[in-house]
Amino acid sequence: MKAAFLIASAVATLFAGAAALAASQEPIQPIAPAKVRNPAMVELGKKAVLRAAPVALRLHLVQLLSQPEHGRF
Amino acid sequence: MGGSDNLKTSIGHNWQKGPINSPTVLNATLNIAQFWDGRAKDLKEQAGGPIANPGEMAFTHELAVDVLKSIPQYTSEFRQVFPNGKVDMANITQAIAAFEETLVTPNARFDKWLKGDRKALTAQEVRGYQTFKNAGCVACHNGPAVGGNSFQKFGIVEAYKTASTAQGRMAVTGKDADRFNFKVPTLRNVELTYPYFHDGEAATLHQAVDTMARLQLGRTFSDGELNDVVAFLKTLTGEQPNFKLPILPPSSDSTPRPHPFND
Repeated sequence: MKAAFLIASAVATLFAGAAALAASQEPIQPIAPAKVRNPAMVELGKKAVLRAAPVALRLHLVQLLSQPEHGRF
Repeated sequence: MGGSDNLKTSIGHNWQKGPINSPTVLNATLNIAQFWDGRAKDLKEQAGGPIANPGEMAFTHELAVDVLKSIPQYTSEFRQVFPNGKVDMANITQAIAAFEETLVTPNARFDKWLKGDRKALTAQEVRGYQTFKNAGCVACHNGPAVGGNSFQKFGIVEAYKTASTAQGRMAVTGKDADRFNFKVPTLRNVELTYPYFHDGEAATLHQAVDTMARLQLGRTFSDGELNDVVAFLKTLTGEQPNFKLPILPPSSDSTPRPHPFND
């Protein structure tokens, strides 16, 4: 039983290693999820960005409504 | 959509037409530098640019600082977040950069395929990836962001004809050799970030891929190859940032008022 478990673990590790090796040999690599080091700073930055965003959003909507032929928004 | 405004060029203060297509903010933290010409070395430096650009927000840094300083909740948050507690451009741009660093798009179907899930892509999408590699697109579009990590001349085999006056990297270095050298854009989420190129003149992915193959590689893709490559590019769409919109703190009596119409 123990031997079977060890073999299964070894095979799984081998496959995972092979997949990782294959990925590392490609010219494109996966993107890692964002690591948030300082959530409070991120939240503050979000507010600073969005403080100006309503103006931009309004401009965008007016542009959309005045040029409906664009049709791809 | 896709972290861009989907306009050829953005609309600035007082309806000004922007000079260049706005690059996506998604995965911008992976870029070698910011803006098409790389004039900002990182997101912090980039964040200060549009605020004071007369063709974009037409603010001044002083006015931006005064607005935030006039709002008690901001001054309190700056004190909590920064050791020096100051509401100044250095801290404002650092906070904006910290937020933008979170705007990444992992777990695209292509990422799952790279990690070993062979069912994540269709046969056509895998074929498109092979064509993308074999044709040489990966010489520039590589790495986690599938681009964004080098500057390259636009129009290597054949010159690119455009009405845009953008000179690319030369505007930063002053070197004639850098004329029409632009930062290679990321292809992550590219199906969402139309229109394409620095002048926004390519409306569709098919058009963009066809133009790039001819001008950069001297290749004319067949319709089948074009369809395959476009199918592959659409597998680069990752999980889009999903965050709760914050409730912005109210202005105070001393907050400078906006004057969007110069009245």
